[in-house]
Amino acid sequence: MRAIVDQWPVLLREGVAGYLKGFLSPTLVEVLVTAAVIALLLTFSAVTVMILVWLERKIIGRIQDRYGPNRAGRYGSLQLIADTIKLLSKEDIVPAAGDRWVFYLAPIVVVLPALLIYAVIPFGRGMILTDLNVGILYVLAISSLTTVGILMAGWASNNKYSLLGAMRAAAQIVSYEIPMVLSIIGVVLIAGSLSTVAIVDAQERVPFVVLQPLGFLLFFVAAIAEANRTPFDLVEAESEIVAGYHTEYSGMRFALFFLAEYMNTFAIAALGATLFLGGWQWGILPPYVWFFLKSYALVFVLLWIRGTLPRLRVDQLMGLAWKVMIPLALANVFATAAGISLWQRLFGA
Amino acid sequence: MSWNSPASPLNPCGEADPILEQLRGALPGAFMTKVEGEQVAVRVQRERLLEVCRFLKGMPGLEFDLLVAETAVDWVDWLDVVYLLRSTTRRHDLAFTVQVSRDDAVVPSVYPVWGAANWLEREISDLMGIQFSNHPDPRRILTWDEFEGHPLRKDFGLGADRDVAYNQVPPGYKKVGEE
Amino acid sequence: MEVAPESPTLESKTDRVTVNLGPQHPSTHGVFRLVLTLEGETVVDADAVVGYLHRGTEKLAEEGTYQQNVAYTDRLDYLSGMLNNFAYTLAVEKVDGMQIPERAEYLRVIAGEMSRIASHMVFVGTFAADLGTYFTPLMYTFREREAILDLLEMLCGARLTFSYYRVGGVAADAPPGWVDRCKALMERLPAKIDEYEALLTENEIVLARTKGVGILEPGTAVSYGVTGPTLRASGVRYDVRRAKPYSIYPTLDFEIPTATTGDCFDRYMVRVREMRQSVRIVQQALERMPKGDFAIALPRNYRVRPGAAYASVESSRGELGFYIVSDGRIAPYRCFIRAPSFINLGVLRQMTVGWKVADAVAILGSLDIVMGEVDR
Repeated sequence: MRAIVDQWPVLLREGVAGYLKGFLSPTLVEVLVTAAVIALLLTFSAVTVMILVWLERKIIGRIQDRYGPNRAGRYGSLQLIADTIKLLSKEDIVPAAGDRWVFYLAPIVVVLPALLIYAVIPFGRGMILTDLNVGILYVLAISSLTTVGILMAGWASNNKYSLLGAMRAAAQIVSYEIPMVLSIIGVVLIAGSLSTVAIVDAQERVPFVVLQPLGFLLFFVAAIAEANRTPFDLVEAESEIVAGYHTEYSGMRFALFFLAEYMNTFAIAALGATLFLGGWQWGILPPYVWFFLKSYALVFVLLWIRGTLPRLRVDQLMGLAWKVMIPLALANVFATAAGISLWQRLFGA
Repeated sequence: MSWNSPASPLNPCGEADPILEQLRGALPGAFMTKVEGEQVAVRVQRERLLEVCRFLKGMPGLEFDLLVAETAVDWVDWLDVVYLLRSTTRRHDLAFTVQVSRDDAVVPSVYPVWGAANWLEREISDLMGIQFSNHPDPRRILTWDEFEGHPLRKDFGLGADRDVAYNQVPPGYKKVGEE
Repeated sequence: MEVAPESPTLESKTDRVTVNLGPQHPSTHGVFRLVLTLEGETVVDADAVVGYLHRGTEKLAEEGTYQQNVAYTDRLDYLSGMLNNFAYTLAVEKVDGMQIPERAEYLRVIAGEMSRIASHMVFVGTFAADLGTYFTPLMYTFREREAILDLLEMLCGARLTFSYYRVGGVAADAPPGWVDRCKALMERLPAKIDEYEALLTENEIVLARTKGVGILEPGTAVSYGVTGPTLRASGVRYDVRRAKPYSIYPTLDFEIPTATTGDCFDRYMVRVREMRQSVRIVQQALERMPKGDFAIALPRNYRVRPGAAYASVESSRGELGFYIVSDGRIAPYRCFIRAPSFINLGVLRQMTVGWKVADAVAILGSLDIVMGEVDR
């Protein structure tokens, strides 16, 4: 009974695959099943964005002593649908002198990495699209692609302020990648593997946030900067003078940028939960429930920070990354390595 | 110069006020006074204006470091520029006017003495048409750059007789559709 | 083949860019245009273009009667409406030599100080919003501002453009129960001000964005005619309520908050402390308010004695003064408005040059200007 509750998605997949193998070739079945899982993941990410947007508006509303949307549907649940319909009906403006194909492609290049990260996140025991044995490397590499998309958007807008904003955003993301990578190295050293499944399995007895508190903190702060959330959101700040890279975008293209932001938000929360909080570990509740609880807890902290803190100035932001976080992250890596080697010496493998 | 204005800025002091005494001692002939009841009105000569201002600001014991306001009044036959000074350290204040005629509405700028004069004098030159010599930035401030005329003057009226439409195309611009 | 070298050293030259913080912008506090010349991220020149809200108030005041002009004055510093009326009526009464009933003086001061608290609440909220806090402090301060505006609406029927004062007193007496409700609100306010401070004053990011930013030297400030909290944050202890006392202020016990550095943080702190002092003033005035008339009954189209006078109040933005020239008719001959925001704005260029672009917004926000006053 317990196994069914905990493992029903895996059982379903195995069951369907097994049934189809009866009359189709195995490779075709594999392709079909994987395609189905991909479709499920895409739907899941779309639904997550909807939930996240609703959650953000309600939570920030409550932090600000007001209700948040509560007209469109019960508790404002249909608000995002109303907004989407509005965005779809907007005129599609393309800058006349801009680079048209780059302009069209830029939002897609920004959204894709956010979607691709979901491929290696374990939602439960065995519930992962593909267990790459270089999962973490894949995640870090993919998330750098966003920079390309941002630069494309800034360039194609044919607006010098958009370009400046895009370059600032690119500089910010690139600067904060380094502490993020370094903070994850500590986790990888302890788990002994780059695979996300192996990392979650290694947290069976104790989650890594206990063993790597500094690493968790650094990862969290760097991830907020990666996702362009407050207090690092000067690229989309209204009170900043230099326009953001998405100023010239309207309608659905504009929506794609924000889709990307929310997908990124959930992706980093899910990553944080996977790497540091134990993923789907711990008993009593089914694993995927644990996963969502932990991810949404981190999402809540992100929203809480957004509702409370002001924004850093661009030079203070860079100073924080290069002068504070990278030295701390390096120190963390060395301390972790020293600690592991000491442990091995004292207690054997 | 005549004193026919029915009103002059208020200086609640008698003729023998210590400030005016000091001023009269140091810069004789730079200004005239006229007693009106319990107040005395001070009128400074235009040519000696900067001297008087520097003295009032720099003299220890006077220290008029705050230019509270500088404005102008249009008395039809002539124009008055009114200066209101105050000292943040000594807590006394002083008001005086400089009289100019309509044809020769030029006054030395007191920007070298008080930086506040920059915007205050721009406003006067914009709205009253009094020019300030040696002003660092003589542009219109409250009306738009191509505006003609000086609205606060008594002969400007309320603009009904002038062709000042809010949708008027400024000179140098073309309407859409024109060549 | 030899190629002549271009230059022995590589010079990095950044171009100068002109950025226009246009009249429509969420953080310019009204229709205001700031043309910044940037070299990289640093501001090299800042030219403020004003006049978008110029409505010709001074000219129109020459057409309306003295009582009618009270309505024009509301629209100047619309965030602290009562204090504009206060300055104007003080000036007219000074020209005429009028003495108004004591109860009217108390009502004026109470309403004026409550307006000041409301205005500073807007400042705290919008200043934090300029720094990027996404309106959370703004929502909190506006919650208390609503409470104040509700009380002022109970008093005179309006929330923003009050026109409560009249030449000779105020328009109406306080309704029954108003004084008690005011006292209850004043009890609640200090705890709420603590709440705003808890959110902002010791916040690392706020401190990093405002400490040491946009320093205004006291000598420059006085020379440029800066008054109000901006001047007091630079260390100059000049407040019209103490320098040239008016109304019942000589009898009230309150402090003038000053600071030492003159940076954005000091300007913020001075205003927060002023809020607390205003609460004290209102509480004292509510205790001592005597019974009596609320105004002198003036005839319609009252002709003010010929003369000229300048009277000023300490508005939430600085010294707000009116220079009124009367020639004995029913309307003023000249009505000059000494607008603190206009004069304070003149020093923006000195304060902004040398700082980064993001600081320009913080500095502008900390000056706390209202375009209604700047442009009149």
